Amino acid sequence: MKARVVFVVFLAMLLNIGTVALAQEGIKIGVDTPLTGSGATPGHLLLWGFQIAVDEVNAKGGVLGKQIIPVVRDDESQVQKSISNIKELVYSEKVTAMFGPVNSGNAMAFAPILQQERIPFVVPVATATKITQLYQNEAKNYVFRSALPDNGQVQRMVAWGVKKFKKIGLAVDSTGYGQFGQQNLVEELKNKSVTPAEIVKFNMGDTDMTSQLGKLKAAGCDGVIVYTLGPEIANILRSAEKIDYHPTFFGPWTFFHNEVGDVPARLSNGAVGVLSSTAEDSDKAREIDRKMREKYVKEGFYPFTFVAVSYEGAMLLFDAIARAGSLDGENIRDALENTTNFKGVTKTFAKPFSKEKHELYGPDDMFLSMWKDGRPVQLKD
Amino acid sequence: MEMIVQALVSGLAMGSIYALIAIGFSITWNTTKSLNFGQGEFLMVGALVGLSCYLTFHLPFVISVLAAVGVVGLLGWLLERLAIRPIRHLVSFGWVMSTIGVGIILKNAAMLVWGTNQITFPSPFGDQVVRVFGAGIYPQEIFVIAISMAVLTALDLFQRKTIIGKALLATACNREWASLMGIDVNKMIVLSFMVSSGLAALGGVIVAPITTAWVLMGSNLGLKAFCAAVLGGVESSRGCIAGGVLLGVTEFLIASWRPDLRDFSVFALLIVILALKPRGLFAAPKVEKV
Repeated sequence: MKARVVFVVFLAMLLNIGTVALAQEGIKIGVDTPLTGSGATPGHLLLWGFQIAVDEVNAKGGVLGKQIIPVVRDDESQVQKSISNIKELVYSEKVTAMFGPVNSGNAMAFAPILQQERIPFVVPVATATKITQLYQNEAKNYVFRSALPDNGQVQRMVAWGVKKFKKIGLAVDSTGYGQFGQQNLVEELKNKSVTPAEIVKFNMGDTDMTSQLGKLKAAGCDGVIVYTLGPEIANILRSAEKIDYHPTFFGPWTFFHNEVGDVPARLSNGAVGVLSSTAEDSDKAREIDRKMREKYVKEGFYPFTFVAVSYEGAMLLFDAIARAGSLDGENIRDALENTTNFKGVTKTFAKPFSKEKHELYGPDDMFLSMWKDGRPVQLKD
Repeated sequence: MEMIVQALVSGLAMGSIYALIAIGFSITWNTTKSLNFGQGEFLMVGALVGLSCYLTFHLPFVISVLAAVGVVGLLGWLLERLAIRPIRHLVSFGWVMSTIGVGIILKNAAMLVWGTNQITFPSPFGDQVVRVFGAGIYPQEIFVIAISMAVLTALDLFQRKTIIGKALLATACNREWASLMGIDVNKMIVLSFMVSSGLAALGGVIVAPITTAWVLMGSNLGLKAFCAAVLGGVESSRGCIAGGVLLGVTEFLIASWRPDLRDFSVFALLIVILALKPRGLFAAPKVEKV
């Protein structure tokens, strides 16, 4: 009896060692993204873009001879959950690098942990400008971004908006994204000597924005910048029809979230948003689109840009790990900062990063697109 | 002016939904002194089941509504059997936790089936806005008000005119005496839970085209409906209707003036009314012989 117990324990230990050994063969990258809650749609796009990059790199033998192992956690778009996810990924799973999130508020909240523990951090979707600037003045800034930063998007949309509209109004959400966005917008409008005629606020999950829109209508705004995620933009378009208010709604790349594509064309026609790429722009783009259609979004519209920037963020990270030659956080960070001739999805970036600039995309890499009969059409301004 | 009309109509529509759910609370409270804190999740399941029937299986809207009510009615039966009856003998307030637990289970199960996105539920009446005094009203909102009034009237008639309805009232009035009169009290209790769940499902499926259907839609609605029931007096069905309508209209009127005070106004109203009439607006005064 005792011998059997000893044998079973011995077997279990053998098996355990086996799995531990296997686990140590890979490079763990932590991914914090919303898979449920208000950010679930871009959250999944982030994960799919990342996974496509992982599959591509692993098929070629991985990085430094090791397979990339994504360790994914759902942050439900909640700040508290994202912080506890990062703590688990850093202290318990001991990931080599961090990827994510979608919500700017979450990124701002957990960036300090990563900076302190010297974990290189690539942000593929959260756009609040401050995120990459938090540690700009320190010797080594561990935060990099492949998403379209807010200040770039804001510059793009304000430059166009001030020429087109007499009175501009702002509709922002109450999260970090909306609030930081509002700051960026007011500042950039001031640079063009324009003051917003009215600023209204709403919460995530609100479906009835008629009272906020009523205020914008009363102020006579003919152009309204909406700074929030897809579902709320869609509800604003619906509420606007209810009160018979037809300004031009424009805003950031969130204007191309699926939910906006789901509204009837008569409501979305004329709405304008910022983009950086479409699925037809290059061979690589078409290849990624094919993989997306095969595995993740078999039919219907999806905003390609989000997948493209996630893919690029992942590739930047893997490329840097390869050049660093080790899994040391500081070496990878330095390699990231020294990235040269990075082949993105639709263009090559000669030297994207420097000590002062940790953004892959600048305002010149972005363009404006307008919804027309359920599809985005590039605006030639 | 049109903002006020807008707020009144939307408030009345939302208030009718609160009334439907609140009546559900009232029915089960009266028969068993317990209520289903997962009622919001029952509403959500009703909305999503109706959505699937309507969009995925292309069934006519009426059939989708009946299917939603049927499925969730069955859930109500299961709830009573598994979460209320066994607990009643063990822990007198155990139903609070068990119904909350059922709500959480349903929410997570729904997440697995329907995902987490807000799904657009196309209204069978189209989404062209109707203009009344310059205010924009969705035909679905008018439908919600009409159907809710019809169902609540029918429920009232059912309770007062039919034998089963009277049996339900009797059970609610005094369980021991009702059972002495030959009423199968257990069956009445089961019926009350099924009716209450069915009402929640009906509310969910008719409000979904206005608010979009998604797995988190129930929590806020359920909570506000509970406030409506408490506000109006959970023991009185008239009180629940009044509470629902009052709450909905107040919420939307305040929202049209200051949108950020919307949720605050709901709970502030509850506190004010309870401070003045602790048992609710329409509760019958409790007489205790000393």
